[in-house]
Amino acid sequence: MNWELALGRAFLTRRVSQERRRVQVVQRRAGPARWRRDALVVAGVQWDMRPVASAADWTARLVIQCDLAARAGAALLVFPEYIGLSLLGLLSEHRALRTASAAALSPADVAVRLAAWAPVVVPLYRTVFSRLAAAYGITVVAGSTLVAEGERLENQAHVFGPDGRLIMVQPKLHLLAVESQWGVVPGSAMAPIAGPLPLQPVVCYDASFFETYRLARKQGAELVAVPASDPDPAYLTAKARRGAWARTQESGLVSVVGAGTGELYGILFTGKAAVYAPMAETPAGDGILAESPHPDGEGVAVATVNLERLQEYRQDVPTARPDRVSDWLGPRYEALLPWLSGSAPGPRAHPPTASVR
Amino acid sequence: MIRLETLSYWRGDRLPNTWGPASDLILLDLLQWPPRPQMARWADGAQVPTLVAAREPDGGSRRADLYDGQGRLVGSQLQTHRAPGADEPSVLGDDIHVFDLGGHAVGLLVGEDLLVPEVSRTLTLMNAELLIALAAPRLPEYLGIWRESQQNQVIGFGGGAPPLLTVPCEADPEEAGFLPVESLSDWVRASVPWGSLAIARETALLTQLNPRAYLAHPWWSA
Repeated sequence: MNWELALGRAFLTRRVSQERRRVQVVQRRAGPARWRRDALVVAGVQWDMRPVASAADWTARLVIQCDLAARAGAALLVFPEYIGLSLLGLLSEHRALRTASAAALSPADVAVRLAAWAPVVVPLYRTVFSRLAAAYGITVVAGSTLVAEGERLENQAHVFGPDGRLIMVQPKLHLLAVESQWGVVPGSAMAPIAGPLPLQPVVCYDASFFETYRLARKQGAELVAVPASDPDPAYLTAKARRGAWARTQESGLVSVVGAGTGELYGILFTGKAAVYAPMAETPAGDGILAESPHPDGEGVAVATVNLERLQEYRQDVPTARPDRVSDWLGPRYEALLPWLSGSAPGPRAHPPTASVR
Repeated sequence: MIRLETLSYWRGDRLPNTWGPASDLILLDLLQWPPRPQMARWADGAQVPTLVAAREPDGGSRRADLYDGQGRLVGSQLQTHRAPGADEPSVLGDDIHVFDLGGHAVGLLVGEDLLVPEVSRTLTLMNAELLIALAAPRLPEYLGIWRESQQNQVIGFGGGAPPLLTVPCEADPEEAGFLPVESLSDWVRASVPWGSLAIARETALLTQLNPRAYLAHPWWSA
């Protein structure tokens, strides 16, 4: 590690320690939020990702969103992916980072900075969200942040129960190319469901793969929390419909999306906080229970879901024949392993059944 | 050597009276099966490969048959899944296939197979570049073949009203993933945008699959 990174790390470590001692959240509710299976209020937060100068400022902004959700009776609140990286603003050098264009900071430059600094803010990130969850008695999916697992850097979603305990940590399983360039590695398993809600976190791009919702359903999830931060400066409805919305229709599970917006270190984010349900179970028949009107700025999307009805609905959702999938996909997934690990040149070719040439 | 640059599509009760606009592959979405000899004669007259899909009478399975330009039956795909809770069809196919059409790998989604993403994923992992959905249930635009195009980074053609030609959003200048088709009387004609595959696969979605995680929790087992 060069001196600049090492100094930054030492400075950040001291700031995090000081800031953690100052984190205060006024108690809003004694005990966990009440909810019923036939009327569960859930909320996704749309959040400006800009770096913050102090944990107090950050907490004050978070409290505004929590207040909105709590007033609506929410028992679940989902924040966006990478929200923890806003805390790198505590670093004095953040101004240089923020003003650096993507071209000025190569992915390799970003990678070494993230590896040196991002894990340092994790204790502060966890303290703030733990206290928020306990103060409001809400299950909080605290978006995600970068966590060092030995030599590995994972993008991990954190779930805090209504008593403030950290109850689930779910690494992102499918990475964008830019994340791989930053040195992030994918997780290797779904976390077991824990806490009062039948909830599975699925991090952003993970929702582009039907497999994650199949895994979530296998685990017993009825709700999927999707912390997302889409690094795309132009929001497009079609692109937005191929992630959590599509998986919701495919699986019959409810998706609660927290979306990052704004700019963080030269990267522009757009997205809408939302609650998606199967089309037949939404008033307008569009699969949307609540969605932020704009892909920029902040806000909360709140909806009430009926888990009992959705459980019935899922009886009519097509599923794959177990005997066929084990024959079709099991061996093909296994065959991908050497290719993805770089020890084989490509997936095995499959001869066609018939040729017309 | 045939080529596969264009395809034409017709949907109706029975075989059309014409072979439609010039194309490299004819797709027929029929309500009733013609007798096989009649179908073979029709395909022979077409002089290009013909893919015909229909349902067997009395609640039977949906099937797609592939004929070459000389009217010979060269392959068949039976639907492999039925709607949840449905008793029909009583017979389902156990295998899925990719067909080599002019050097391109083509997978078929017949009937309810379009609703089961495992089918499309398997075909993609069998190297299918084009997925054709026939005899499929009617679905909103962002579901069905569009969804399978997106999550497999392949070209899709979905029969129905209207028929849809789909590509991954990255391969569409409008970034919506729907490409125009040409309506010609009762027929529809489309150019197969093979060039879009290279663009789409720059996003490398399939290289991000995480088989280790899937195999750790095989959702298909009890």
